[in-house]
Amino acid sequence: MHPVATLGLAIALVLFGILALRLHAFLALLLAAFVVASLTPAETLRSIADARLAAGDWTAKRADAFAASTPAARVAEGFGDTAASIGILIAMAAIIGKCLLDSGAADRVVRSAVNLVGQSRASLAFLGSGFVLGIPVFFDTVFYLIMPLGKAMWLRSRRDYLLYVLSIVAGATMAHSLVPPTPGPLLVAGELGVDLVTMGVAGMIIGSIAALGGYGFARILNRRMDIPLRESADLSIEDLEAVIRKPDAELPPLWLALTPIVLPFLLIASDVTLSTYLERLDGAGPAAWVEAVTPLVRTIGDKNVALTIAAGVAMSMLIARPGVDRKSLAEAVRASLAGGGVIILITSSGGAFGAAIRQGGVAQSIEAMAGGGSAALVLPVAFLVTALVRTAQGSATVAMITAVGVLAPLAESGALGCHPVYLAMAIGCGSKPVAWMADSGFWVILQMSGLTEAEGLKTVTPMTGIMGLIGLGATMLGAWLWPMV
Amino acid sequence: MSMEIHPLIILAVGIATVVGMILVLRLNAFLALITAAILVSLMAPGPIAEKISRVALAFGASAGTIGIVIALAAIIGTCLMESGAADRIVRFFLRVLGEKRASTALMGSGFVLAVPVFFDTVFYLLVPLGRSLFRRTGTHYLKYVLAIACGGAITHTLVPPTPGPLLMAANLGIDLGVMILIGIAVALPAAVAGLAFAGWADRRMPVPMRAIGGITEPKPPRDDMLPPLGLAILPVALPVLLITANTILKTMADSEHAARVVAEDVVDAGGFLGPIGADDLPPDSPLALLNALLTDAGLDRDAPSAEAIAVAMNEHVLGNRGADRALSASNLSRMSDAEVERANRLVLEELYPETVLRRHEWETPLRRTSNLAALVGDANFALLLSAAVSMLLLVRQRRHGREEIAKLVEQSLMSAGVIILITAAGGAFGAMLQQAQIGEVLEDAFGSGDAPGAAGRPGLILLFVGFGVSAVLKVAQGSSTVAMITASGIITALIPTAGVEALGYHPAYLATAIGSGSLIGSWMNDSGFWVFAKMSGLTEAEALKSWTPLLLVLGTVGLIVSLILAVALPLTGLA
Repeated sequence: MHPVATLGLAIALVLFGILALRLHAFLALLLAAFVVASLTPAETLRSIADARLAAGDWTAKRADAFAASTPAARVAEGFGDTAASIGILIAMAAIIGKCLLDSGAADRVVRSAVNLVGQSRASLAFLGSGFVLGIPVFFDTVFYLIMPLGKAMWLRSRRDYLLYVLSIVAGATMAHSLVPPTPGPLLVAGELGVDLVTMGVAGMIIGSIAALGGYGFARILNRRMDIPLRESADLSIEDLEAVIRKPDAELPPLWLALTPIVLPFLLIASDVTLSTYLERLDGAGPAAWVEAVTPLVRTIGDKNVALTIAAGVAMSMLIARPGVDRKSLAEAVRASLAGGGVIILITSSGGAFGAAIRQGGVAQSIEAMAGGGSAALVLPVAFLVTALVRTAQGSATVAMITAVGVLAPLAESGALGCHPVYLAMAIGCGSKPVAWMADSGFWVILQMSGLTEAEGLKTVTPMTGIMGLIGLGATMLGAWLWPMV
Repeated sequence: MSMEIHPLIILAVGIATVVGMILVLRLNAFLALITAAILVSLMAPGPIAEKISRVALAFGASAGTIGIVIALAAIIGTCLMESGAADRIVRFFLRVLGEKRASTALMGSGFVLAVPVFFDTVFYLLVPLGRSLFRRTGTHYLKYVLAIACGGAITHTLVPPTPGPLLMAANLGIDLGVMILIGIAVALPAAVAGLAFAGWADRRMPVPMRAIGGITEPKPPRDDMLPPLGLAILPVALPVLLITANTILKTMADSEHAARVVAEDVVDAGGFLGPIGADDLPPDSPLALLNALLTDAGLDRDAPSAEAIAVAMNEHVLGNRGADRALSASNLSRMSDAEVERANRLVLEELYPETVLRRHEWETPLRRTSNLAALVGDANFALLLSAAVSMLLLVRQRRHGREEIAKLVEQSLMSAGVIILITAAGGAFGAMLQQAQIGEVLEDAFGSGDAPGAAGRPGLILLFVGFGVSAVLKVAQGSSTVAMITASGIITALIPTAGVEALGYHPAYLATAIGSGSLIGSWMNDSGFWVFAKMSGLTEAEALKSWTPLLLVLGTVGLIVSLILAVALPLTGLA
């Protein structure tokens, strides 16, 4: 079977599993990985093993074992490799997110943002706080959290309801797909070999541009359509009053609330700074104090340790709240690990799927076809592939996981012509269009905001699509101006 | 920073971290184990840049070995429950054994169901049956519930794919088929002893059946709503059969020793000695090594017969694994004897033309069958197949919509996700302990297994050590699975560098000893204790007098059987 045909079959299998058989994404990706691995001929495996051996990546023993391995063993290995790069991170991020919510820290972030820009510009505060909270917390949780505040704000002003809803969506959804440690960006960065600081900085830049574009679009829509708040079953007006009236004193202070989000970035960045400094020394010995702190910075600046420390801070913050005992902390951790565990399973099986595709020898074929194409060609293709998978099956994370498996060979083949972080951004932006009924996030928005399906399709869907396109535009511009190669 | 920390101190800090974080801080076992792994790795020797990444890599390696299997087993378990397949298995046992031996039937059902399903779920399913049996017979309530606990607990700790045995097999490098077979061999006698204890405890301490608040007795489904037995047992039997068939076929194919030299292979006995007779053999070349080995063998250089060459080859050359004694340059330590012979034979065949040494045929019909079995008998594949079967079974029985099935799968994956995190973190902890080189220190302290007459003896002591460590961990923190994964990590680090040869028996017996230890001393900190007491309506005192000693009996018998089998049936050739 030609590698590209295998590739087509692989994507078709994932979509067939999720859409027609309604399989869980974990099972669909795993099944596709098994099929692709079984279809890979022994000669291809041997040539991959020889190439890695020649490159000095593998020992002779490792290469022999790989060439002789069964398909199931290769799938399990791909699964394990991915779990190694993202497993601990996602588990810790899940704990951080849950603690931010339960401790009221997330609430504090939103309120502070509203106070900062003033109540009249509350929508901008929702956009910003949605973006910040969307970094460690999953999209639907952010939406659940800020939506009651948006409703409460509407009760006061009686206008701009649609703007509030769309601002929250715009902020949270961009961070969710572009800035690690949410699972999608995490896996994409790992597969493309992009370090987390580069990924985070690029994601914040591109994400902010796209989110602001989406916000502008939301303002236009808001002037054209007037959608009132409809009474929904889950949250009565009285509950909303309670949300507003909750005294500020019950929430943790802002600096503490932001620590679990900011700390890991600072720790990782300190390690990156140190490494850059040491590289630039050019043989001259580093200063004595630098040498003394190097082991410490290396250790706490590792992404796994940085997030573990942040999780420790977040848990301490939660347990320090009045009325929280060890039992409720243990329950919160258990619940977040259960949720995080499923995400790890899906993401790791996506990694196994990607590994199976790469071992099918697709990189060489694509390279031959692209013939040294350029970023101007590759980035839109990446965007389109991701958008296709997203539209077909609904989940942005699964779309990114599936697409990066297909597209990672492009980054390796040298056809890119720019830093792989741009490819990661294009994939993240491609996961935005098209939000419709296949997407669980779409339903979360409708349910929580009380929009009808038609209203959702007229507002949320075009806005996310436009954000994706703006993000792609910004990415291509960046790749053109600063290719960083 | 280059100060070396004594390995035993590292071990102590590691254990103290795990137990302290779980007991004192009441943190989730995942956090405790991953923190302990990071701490141990920081203290163990190695370049600073790799100290954290090796934890993540070990975490991923464990997740790769056990993650898919545990997730799929959770799906299979849910489907067995929801489709009524589990009910069918219980009713089959009851019908075959009759109401008189109902407790044996309950034990048997628990034994079979706990292979893929978690203990508490098995117990939830079977307890209502015990209660309805009591309503009909009016006696032996305690015997019924203890019988259920006995069957469920023993396979949960000894037979994969439950997480504990799965990770023990991964840590100790045990083939999963061997682990299943030896696990069952140890579990069966223990379960029989446990059943005997159940009868004895029931006579000494009759317990009435009390109404259990908050739990409505589920109405048993009609018999015609359950799947037929063949289909019901398929999701359990299929993976067990595929995995063990792979193991058995591989053992059979290995026992052919297809790569050994027979006299007919040596076409030209005189030509055989030619190349190695030269005086100026380059040192460290395969030919020089072969020359030295044949000198050791005392081969008659003047008139060698084909038979003598074959014997010398088989006894002194082909089976060599050591770095300075094997012809093949590959790493042979994880290969079976037959594979080692093949690797060395391939080197021989490069040295000699076909006119001197005939090429061996490796791909015999049996080997080809075995290779095929390796494709489908891989645990990941076998369980994926079984998960597909069990989901189809659920669709067939319940006519569930796809949405409902998706929801059930999501739920099973949520419970499996936590277990996978804990287990993989335990795997990382064990791997970091190995980095600390504790085994070497102990070898120096107690003398290595090379000492004359010592072979085998220190190995048996390790069985007791594994049992003891696991029992202490169990009493301290309560979870059998955490006890097993932590203890197997520690024991793997203790195993002498010479591996199986120094042990003198198959490492699967170590796993069963550790598993047995994890049954010792279950009390109020064990969630299984509460599941048993609450679901059967026993007071805490009654549970302490019935459940706790029952597990003690299971664990003790398990250890004894492991010891006996390790001596009587060491199976070193399999490892």
